[in-house]
Amino acid sequence: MSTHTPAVDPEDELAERVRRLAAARAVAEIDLARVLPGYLEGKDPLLAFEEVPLPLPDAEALLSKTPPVAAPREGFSGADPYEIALRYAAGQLSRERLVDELSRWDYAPDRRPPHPLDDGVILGDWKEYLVPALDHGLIDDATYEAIRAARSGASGDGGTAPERQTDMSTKEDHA
Amino acid sequence: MSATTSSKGPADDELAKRLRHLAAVRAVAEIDMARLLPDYLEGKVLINAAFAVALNPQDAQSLATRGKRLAPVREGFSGADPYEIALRYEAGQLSREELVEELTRWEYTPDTLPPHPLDDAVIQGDWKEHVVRAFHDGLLDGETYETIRLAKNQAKGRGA
Repeated sequence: MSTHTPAVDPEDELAERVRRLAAARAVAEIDLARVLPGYLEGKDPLLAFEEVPLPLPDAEALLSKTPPVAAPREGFSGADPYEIALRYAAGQLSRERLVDELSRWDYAPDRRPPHPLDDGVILGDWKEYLVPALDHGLIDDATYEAIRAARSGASGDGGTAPERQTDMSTKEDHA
Repeated sequence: MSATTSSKGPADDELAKRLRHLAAVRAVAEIDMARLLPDYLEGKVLINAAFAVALNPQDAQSLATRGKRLAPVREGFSGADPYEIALRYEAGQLSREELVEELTRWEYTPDTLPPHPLDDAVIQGDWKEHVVRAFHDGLLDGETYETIRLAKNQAKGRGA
């Protein structure tokens, strides 16, 4: 069956449900990766997963995530803006709190790579985390704009917070 | 250190409890996504459709494949089998009362012998396959397990 629905339709209720579930799972996995090392301490890993509904291979995959899951930044609900947006999409944060945290975040700027002949760019926090959060539908256009406006208003430099980009090359796989 | 599983302190129990809850939340989110993804992906370009809902394409694809094999939620219940119902209880989607009621009402298939007469194994029925496993995985505590077992046997005794 072919459908007239475009692949990306923010109004699509089914997409919204899948997205919310994907965010809920992603957040649970981040939390699991943070809890697992403490849980495993002093246990035989083969026995440790006998009494919990998490198969050992899944636990191993969560523990060997690259890059490893960092601790949440103090005063924030996540280790990076993408995690904060995931928690919002999963229903753990209000929109107000989301906008507050992502306006307060100290975004690392885009940088040049160390090698002078490398003409790439190392993405700063805004492009690395916030633009994908928008592309993946974790935050909507209005929320993205609200954060951008709050940031320019607060710091006077909107330089690291560009208008919405349609450039697919900034998409990263955070899922 | 060598004294391991026998020395469970309260902090350890807290961690196990939290881990169990998170694992259940993750598992039910996966089951729900798996059931929705075949419809959601139909007629769409995988890579675009996956990114639009914060999934990577391989992940979306394998969940959709799993979804096609998954049994639907049984009518009048919160899951396709007793294990799924227990997962939803641990994930906070069902009250203990609802859990006990559903697992008491469930019509458990009995253990059966495998088709080949020389095979001396047993094909586990629903109780061993799902409820006993849920108990072992910590989704049901001993008391809840006993409550369900007794209620089920009583219902059976009444010829229900």
